[in-house]
Amino acid sequence: MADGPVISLERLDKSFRVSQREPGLWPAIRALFRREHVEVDAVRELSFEIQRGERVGFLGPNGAGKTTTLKLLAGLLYPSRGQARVLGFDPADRRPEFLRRIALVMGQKRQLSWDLPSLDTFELNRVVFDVPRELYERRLAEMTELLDLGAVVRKPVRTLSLGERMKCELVAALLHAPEVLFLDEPTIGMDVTMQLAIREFIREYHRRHGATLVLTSHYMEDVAALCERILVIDEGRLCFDGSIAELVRRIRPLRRVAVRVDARLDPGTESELEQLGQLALAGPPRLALDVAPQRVPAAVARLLALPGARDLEVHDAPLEEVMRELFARRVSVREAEGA
Amino acid sequence: MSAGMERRAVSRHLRLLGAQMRLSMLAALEYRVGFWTEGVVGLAWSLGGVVPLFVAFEHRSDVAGWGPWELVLLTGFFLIISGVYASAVQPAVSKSMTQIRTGTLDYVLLRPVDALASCLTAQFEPWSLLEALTGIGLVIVAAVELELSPSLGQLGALLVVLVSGLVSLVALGVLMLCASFRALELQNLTSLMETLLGFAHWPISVFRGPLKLVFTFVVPFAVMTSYPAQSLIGGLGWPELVGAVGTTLALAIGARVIWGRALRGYTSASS
Amino acid sequence: MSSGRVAKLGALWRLGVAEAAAYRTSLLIWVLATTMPLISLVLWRALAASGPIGDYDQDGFDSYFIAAFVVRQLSVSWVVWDLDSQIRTGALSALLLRPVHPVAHHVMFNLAALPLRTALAAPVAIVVLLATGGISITANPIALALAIPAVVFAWCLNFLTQLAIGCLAFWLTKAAALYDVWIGAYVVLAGYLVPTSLFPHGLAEVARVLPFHAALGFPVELLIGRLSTAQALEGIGLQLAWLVAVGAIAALAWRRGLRAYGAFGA
Repeated sequence: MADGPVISLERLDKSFRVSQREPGLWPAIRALFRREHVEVDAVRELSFEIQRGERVGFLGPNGAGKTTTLKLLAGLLYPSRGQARVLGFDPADRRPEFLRRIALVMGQKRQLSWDLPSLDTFELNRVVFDVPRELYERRLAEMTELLDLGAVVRKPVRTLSLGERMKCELVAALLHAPEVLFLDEPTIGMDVTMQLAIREFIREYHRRHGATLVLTSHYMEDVAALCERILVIDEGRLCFDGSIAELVRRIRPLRRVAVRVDARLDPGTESELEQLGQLALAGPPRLALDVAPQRVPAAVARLLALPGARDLEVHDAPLEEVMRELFARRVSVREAEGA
Repeated sequence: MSAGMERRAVSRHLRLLGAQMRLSMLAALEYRVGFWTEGVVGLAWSLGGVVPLFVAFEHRSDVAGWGPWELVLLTGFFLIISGVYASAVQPAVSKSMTQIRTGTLDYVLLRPVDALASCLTAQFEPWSLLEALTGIGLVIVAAVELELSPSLGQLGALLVVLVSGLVSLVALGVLMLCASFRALELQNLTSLMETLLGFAHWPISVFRGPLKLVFTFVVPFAVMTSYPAQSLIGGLGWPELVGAVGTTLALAIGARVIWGRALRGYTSASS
Repeated sequence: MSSGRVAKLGALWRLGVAEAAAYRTSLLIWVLATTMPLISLVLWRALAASGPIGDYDQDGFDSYFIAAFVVRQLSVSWVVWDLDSQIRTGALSALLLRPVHPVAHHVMFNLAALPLRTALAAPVAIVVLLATGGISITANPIALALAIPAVVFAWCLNFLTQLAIGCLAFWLTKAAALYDVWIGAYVVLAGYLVPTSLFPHGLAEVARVLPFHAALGFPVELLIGRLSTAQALEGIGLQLAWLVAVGAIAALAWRRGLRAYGAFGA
């Protein structure tokens, strides 16, 4: 078991049957007798491997198939075609030995009993997942401490804030110390501090247990901070597999060179700069030029030569912009991939 | 699977049952008004269903061969069945249906225990046991009034038909749950079942023709209420006993198979 | 009524029909769940095999329970569950923002499902009509004419009761469960399981002045010709009295409830 990938997918397909009809009275009555169905492919020919201890993030627009993929990996859905292996098991068999070694945390669905303190659900999971009491006590103490939960676990769940609830959900999911942790939008709807705390906790869990992490999130910071490897999924297909830096360079090959200035540019300088690259910000206070990598030295020299220029920065385009572009121009991404 | 592992699996499921019951009890204690809304109202409902029997005795000395105290005995068994339905079957099925609708069934399926066992223990309404307790009381009172002294064989038959009745009740619950995998609107089936259960008030000998067949073999109310009473009064023959066990086995196996197929079609509602 | 209002009600009606069509499976199950009178029919028919029970013989029971099934289908409403969930989830706010009264919305939605419900119930009724001795309807033209308002008032009575109980959701978390109490009494006292005229003396007289009987037993007995014209008029008067009483409670609960709803800011 030590060798080989922890997760491998081979040409996995999943399609759903969805009924549909036109709006209005007549179509409604017609639907009484004949309902029209459409096959919707949620995941198409998906293949990839994930090694033990990797931290992988799924990116893609809404409805791209990220969550479906996670659910296929956790064994909640049966694939229509193709094969998935997780920890050497076929997830869809949902064998107890398999389920005891994984966990799926969903930001939009809760497992804690609404009217009871979280501790009661923890106790249920202790029994269900066969966690020895001693180990349970130790893990619980450790996680409550890390998440700064204190008395929160003794309050009825309905009285908790969204962030506190998510923290308790994480504890409930991790009490059996899963080797593979799937996270579906774990920080959705939370404020920045809470996102940070949860991210930190997940990172710490990975460090201590060497677990494999697979994450989807709408928040780029989550993915950027937690994942060393990115899989971009769009319309059910894999269209990128690599690091964040690679992704950024592929989508936005331009680098951004910026300085702080005090005065407006005169039209002559402006057109001169535009020959070097694209003027993204035309300060004051900041002047930013997006240029091709080989032009960076020339752009740096030219910008620093401006009167009063200081605080030089050179960086890749901001991640959020990259994502916006990625999802706005989904077609061209696939073209870039040469698919 | 070795015997040791099997024993561990059984004990794990028993502990699951215990843990889920504990959770439901705690939740029930959070809302003490449930004692009135679930317990007392449920009992009143079921006793109200006896009114037509009273009306029948207003005009007749017996109902299809059953005397007044014999019907009290049958009513006792009805209350036991109806109490078990209201406290264990209906809440668990409804809770699981809600979980299908909201998609939180995901978490149930992620547990390393049998998914059906998990669903059937999902929720428990302790207050409704009031009804079952009243039923046991009625059975005892009626047995005393009828001066019954059942033999060991009769008690054995009672045990067999009671277990059969309860198992087929659970199997019907599972079938309703399976139906709601296919279409969420089918969740209303639980209310249809509640309505139908009202007819378990009557001895099976009242019904004629196809309805008699349905209530004996498809929705076996006969097995649930008439047979237990008959087993004590005497008059439950081998054919009925074998029929009861056969019907129950068919329902239970059918429910299990259909459950497996329903699970394969689960689509896991998102958000 | 202004043409604008008619147009609005028409739009609600169409939406209601579309919704009923979308939920046809649940509608069918509701129809089946209300076939109780038909099972009662089989039961009482068997009990009456050895001679009439009270003033009902086998054919009498056939007529009574088929009529009960039909009246039940025509007088049903479900506003209590809709209102209960709308209040608890806050979805009522959206209705309150529309320039149509929310109660009008519910009336239209409940009425809009009637045609489809009737269509689903008709095959059941026809099979039963063919399988049994059929139904004999009153020969008295006045009674027949009065049966129409009697059924309409039965619908109104059910709707207003549900509205009044549904409004309790403004204050309580389990308003729909309280309706179960009502329906429990209805099943026993309305003549749903057995004609109230067969009840023991004393109980029968009490049951027949309660609103449950006004909402089912009365229109049924009128329809199958068991009431004289005088009794029919008396029954309609009783229906109207209950309508006024229940309507007043519903109106009060609605007005008070909206104030409470606004107070906790939904």
